[in-house]
Amino acid sequence: MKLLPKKAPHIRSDVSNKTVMGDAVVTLAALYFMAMCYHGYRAVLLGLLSVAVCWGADALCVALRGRRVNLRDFSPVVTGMIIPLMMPANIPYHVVVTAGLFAILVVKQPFGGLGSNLFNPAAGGIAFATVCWSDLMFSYPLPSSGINFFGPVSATTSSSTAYTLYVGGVPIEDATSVLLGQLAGPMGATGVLVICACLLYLLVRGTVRYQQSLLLLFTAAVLNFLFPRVAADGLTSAFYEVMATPVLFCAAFMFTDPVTSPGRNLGKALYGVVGGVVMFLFSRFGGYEQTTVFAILLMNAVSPVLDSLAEWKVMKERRMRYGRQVSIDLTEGEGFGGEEDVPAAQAQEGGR
Amino acid sequence: MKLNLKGLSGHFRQGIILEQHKEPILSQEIEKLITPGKVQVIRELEQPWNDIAEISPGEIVQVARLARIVDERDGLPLFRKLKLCAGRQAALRVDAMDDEPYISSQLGPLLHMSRECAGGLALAAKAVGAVSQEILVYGALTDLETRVPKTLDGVPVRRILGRYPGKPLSAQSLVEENGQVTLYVGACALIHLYRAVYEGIKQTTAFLTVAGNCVSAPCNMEVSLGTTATEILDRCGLEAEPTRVVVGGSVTGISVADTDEVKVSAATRAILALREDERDKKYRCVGCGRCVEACPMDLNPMLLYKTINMNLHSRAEQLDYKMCISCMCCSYVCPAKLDLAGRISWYRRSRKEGSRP
Repeated sequence: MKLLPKKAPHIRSDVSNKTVMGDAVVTLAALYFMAMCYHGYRAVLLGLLSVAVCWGADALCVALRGRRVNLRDFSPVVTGMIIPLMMPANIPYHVVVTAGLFAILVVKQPFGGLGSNLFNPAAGGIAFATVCWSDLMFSYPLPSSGINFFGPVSATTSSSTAYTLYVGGVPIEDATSVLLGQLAGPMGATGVLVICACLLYLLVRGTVRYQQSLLLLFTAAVLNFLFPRVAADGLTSAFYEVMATPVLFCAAFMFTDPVTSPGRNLGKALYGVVGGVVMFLFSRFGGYEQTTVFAILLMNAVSPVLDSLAEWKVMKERRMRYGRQVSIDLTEGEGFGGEEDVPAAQAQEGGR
Repeated sequence: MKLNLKGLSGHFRQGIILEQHKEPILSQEIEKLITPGKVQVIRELEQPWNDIAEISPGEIVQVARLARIVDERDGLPLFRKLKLCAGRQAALRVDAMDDEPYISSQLGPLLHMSRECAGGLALAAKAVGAVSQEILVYGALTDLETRVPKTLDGVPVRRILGRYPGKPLSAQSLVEENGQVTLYVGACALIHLYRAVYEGIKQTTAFLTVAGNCVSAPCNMEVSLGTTATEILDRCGLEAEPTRVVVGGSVTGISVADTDEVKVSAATRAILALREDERDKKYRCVGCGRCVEACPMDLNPMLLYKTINMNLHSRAEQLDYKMCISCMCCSYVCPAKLDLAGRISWYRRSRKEGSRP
């Protein structure tokens, strides 16, 4: 029987980049469903447009580099889906398009595309839009205010809970509406319960590590509990700061981007804790009501340092543990003697 | 004070969970495919021994040499291993791990030919003057119908718990740690040692597992050395055309180009005929860290892969590429389907050759 030799291992796990990115797509689709319930079909249209722009720009760059476009690569789809979710549902289409193009053409592809980008493309795109159109980005329509597809949007807009916190007030929304997302805010980042369910799904599937997402939320909550910026008790402060601002959404989807976070779990844990501190400081001393994306971008830059730190720590442990063992080389020594000896190939074939 | 970060750094997730596929092979008797007339007696020996008390340690080593016994664990002559350890107060460990899926070519003979195995172990222990003996069996065997005994002729059987690979600390055959020498010997080599001493015959066979999702009658077999893979697969029958035939384990084995060319050696552990979806799936590394989590030696395969591809030799040294045991866990879990372990082993080999004069 003639066959083509293949490389070991001869069995492989079912997890592939496609399923990893697919998990993100599935959970983000759930958030789009929520956004559609609250804001109508415009939310879905924004998402489709953003995905088309990001995917098109990504495919163009890959083709320009002379590579084949991989249809199983969902990473630009994820980027495209995240961007509108961090924006109000009445955002003009050109803002979404510009943010998507910036994310792919400036933040992702110049660094070498998937796997090589320094900063999270979606965070970069949203930060760009925030700086350029802060008035549009921060006026949110109330849920069920009926937004038309095209033309000037005539929805009742309001400021978000993040803004109330930013100017030092205690939000009037009760816990139920915060959990259900019945308040003004970015169209995907308000449905706390749904986001929690998505995060749980990602954690159980192993797509996201708790070291990163949960430690970030925990650190941010503890810091806000200890140092509330509004005139309220620590618990209220921690609840609103984490649940009623996009921190939760960012912790689940943008902060956990594997490309821009450390590889080692120890590094991920460090990244989560430091990220929580940075997010706290940004929200306290930042110039915008919503600064999580800027904190993420800063953390992306620090990530290689944290990874090296973790690597160094593990290297020391590893050498302590396995360095004492001396294996005695047996491959060279006397043979059986006599007319025929053990063929060398036979001796090498066995063992690991 | 020492900060314990084991949980956070993911030690609980080390290694990989694999479906074992060991049944029904393990509960069946060992079949034989022995070429007639191939059994050879040791000519130099006038008469085989009847009792362990009659034979001296030096004679056991000599018989192992005359019988040409090769340890299936590492492909090395058994007598060389025994001779090196003689008088060194070694701890003797019998390897019947078979931690890779499909394979049970050490555990099967251990269970079905336990008398020979125990006898061989006693001989080997006498030859090296072992201070302790132990039989190592893979613990995570959930689908077994046969019971693995707690002791075998007074020797404790230890189940190594945890995920694949079951032997991260014993990838080598002779290990010295804090002055204690540990010798690992394969279970089948002990059976051959038993036969050599008490029956006076040379090793002319090997125990191997024939399995895979294309094989119609998978089994453990005792096969004459030199039998081709084609003959063995013909004997067991093929249900479907395999896409790859693997000599060795399903994780670490070697995929062959021509089954007529493959001849069974003493180190052959298994012949697997597998049919897989061979569509070319290629992605780029996104740095998800699954390989880092899976690595039983705490290495960073994705960083090593990048470092090797960039030819950064001192950085690769710093990342301890030499500690890689080629267990293939990283390649198994990689969602980008990269050849991580293969690349690291290749680098290790090429550096070893390059450093020699």
